[in-house]
Amino acid sequence: MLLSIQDISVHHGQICALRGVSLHVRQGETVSLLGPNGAGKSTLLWTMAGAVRARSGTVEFGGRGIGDLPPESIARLGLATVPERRRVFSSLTVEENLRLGLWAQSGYRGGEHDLHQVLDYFPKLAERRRSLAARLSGGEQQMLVIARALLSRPRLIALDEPSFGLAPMVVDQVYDILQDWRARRNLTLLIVEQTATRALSFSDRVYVLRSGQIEHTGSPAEICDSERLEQAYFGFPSTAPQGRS
Amino acid sequence: MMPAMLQYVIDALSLGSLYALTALGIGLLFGVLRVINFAHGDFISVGAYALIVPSANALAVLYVGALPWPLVLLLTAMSVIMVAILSELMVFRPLRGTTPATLMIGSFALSFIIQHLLLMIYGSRPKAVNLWPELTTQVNLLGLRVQKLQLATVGATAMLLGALTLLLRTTRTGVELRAAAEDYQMARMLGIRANTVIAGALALSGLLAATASLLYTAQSGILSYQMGVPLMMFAFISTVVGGLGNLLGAVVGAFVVAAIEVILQATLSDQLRPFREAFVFVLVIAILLWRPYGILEAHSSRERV
Repeated sequence: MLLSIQDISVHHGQICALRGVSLHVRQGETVSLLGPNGAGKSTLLWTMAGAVRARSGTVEFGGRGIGDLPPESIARLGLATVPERRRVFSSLTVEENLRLGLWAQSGYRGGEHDLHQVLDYFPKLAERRRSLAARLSGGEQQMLVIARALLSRPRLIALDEPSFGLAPMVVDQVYDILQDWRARRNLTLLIVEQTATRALSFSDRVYVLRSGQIEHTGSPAEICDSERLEQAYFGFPSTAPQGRS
Repeated sequence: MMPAMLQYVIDALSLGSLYALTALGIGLLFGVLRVINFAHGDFISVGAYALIVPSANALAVLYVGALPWPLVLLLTAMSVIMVAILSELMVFRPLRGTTPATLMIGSFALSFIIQHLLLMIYGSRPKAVNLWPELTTQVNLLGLRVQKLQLATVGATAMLLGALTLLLRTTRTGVELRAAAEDYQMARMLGIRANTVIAGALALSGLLAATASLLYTAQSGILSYQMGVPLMMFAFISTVVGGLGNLLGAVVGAFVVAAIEVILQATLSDQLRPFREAFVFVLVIAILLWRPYGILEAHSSRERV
C-alpha cells in the first residue's frame, strides 16, 4: 500500500469538511476521486500534502505516518501534489518552474537528462522555456505543472482537477500525456475531478465523495452500473467505460 | 532651468535609492512571510546605533563607524542580521500560522520593543554623528555641484540592486526565494524548506537595512531612536504604490514616491511646504485609485483563468 488514509476528519473552523474518510492507493494504480463542488476533494488533497491538518485519523505514505510532517518533507518523500487552478510561478520563467521540480528531489544526479527528456516531450514548453510562465495559455500552464511534478520523480502524483477550465480537446491532450507517462514510468496517480467523463475511463478504481464522506467506491464499471442517480449528475456516457483504455 | 532640473533628478534618485533599499527589505520579507514588517525601520535604527559606543551620553563616540568602510558595512550588517534573526526566532516563527493581523501586531510590538531598547541603552537625546565626513564634500558634475554622498548613495544602491538581481535570477537559492515569495504554499509543496528560505530573506533584508542605515546616517548626521520610522513609512507606501508582493514594483514605487516628494518640495509655495507629506499621500491615494494593485501588479494577486 503506497498511500493509506484511515478515518480522517478535517475541520475548517467550525465546519466539518471531511468526516471519517478512508482511502488507499496501491503502487502503480490510478485512482480517481470524484464528487461535486464542495464535497471536500481538495481538502483531502491538501491534508495529504501537509497543508491542512486532520483533527483525527492517520495518513500513511510508503508505510510511514506523514500526518505531522510539513509540506516540504512530504514532497521530498515523493508525494507530488498538483493543486487545482494550475499553480505555476507566473513571475518565473518556464525553465525556472521546471527546475524547481528537479530540485525537489535532493541527491538525484540524472536531473539534466530528465529535463531534456521532458522538454523533448513537451515541445511547446521547450519553445518557450525562457518566457515567463504567466504568458503561457491555460493548457500550456497545465502541461507545465504536470511536467514540473514529473521532474520531481515522485512515487505518487495527486492531481486536483487537471481538466479545470480547459477546452475539451486540451483535456484530451492532458489525459493522453498522463497515460503516456504512466506507461513509461509506471506512475501511481490519484486524480480528483468534478466531471467524471475522462477520469473514469482512465482509472482502476473510483471513490465518490459527497458532503465530506465517501459515498461509493469500486471499479469504474461498478460505479456506472450502480449509480444511475449519479449518472445524471456527473454526466458520463451511458455506455460504461471499460477500465483502462 | 536645465541645471536646476538635473539637480532635482539627482535629488530624487538619491532619496529614491534610500526608499528603494528599505522597500526591497520590506518586500522580500512580505514575499515569504506575508507580513509587512513594521520593525524594518527599527532594523535601520539598530544599524545606525551599531556605529557608536553604547552609552547614554549626549556625545556620540564612533567605534564601528571609525573603521574602514568595508568593515563598517560588514559589522553593521551583522548587527542588523542578528536582530532580524532574533526577531524571527522570538516573534515571527512562534506566530507562524496565525492570522495576518496577528503577525502585523507582532511586528508592531517588535518595533516598539526595539525602539525602547535603543532608548534604554542610548538615551532619548538625538546624537550627532559624523560618519564619512569626506562624502559631504561636493564634486562638479555636468556643471552642477553635487554632494559626493548623493552619488555614493545612488551608486551603492545600483550596485546592490544589481547584485541582488543576479542572485535572484541565477542562483538556486534566488529562484527558490522568488518562487516562495510568489506562492509560498506551492513552493513548500515542491520541497522548498520554509525556514531556510525565510532565514535567507531575513538575512538579505538585514543587509539592505544595514546599507540603508549607513547611507541615511551619513546623510542626516543624527541618530535618534525613532530615526527609522519615517523611512519605513515612505518605503512601505512605496511597496504599495509599486505593487505589494512585486520586488521590481517596490523599487519603481520607491523612485515614484521620491520623485513626487522632490517635485512637491520644488513647486509648493513656502506656506504649503510644511504640509508636503500630506500632498504626497494625496497623490499616493490618487495612484491607488488609478491602479488599486499598484503600478506593477503582483503576479500572485490575480489569477489567470
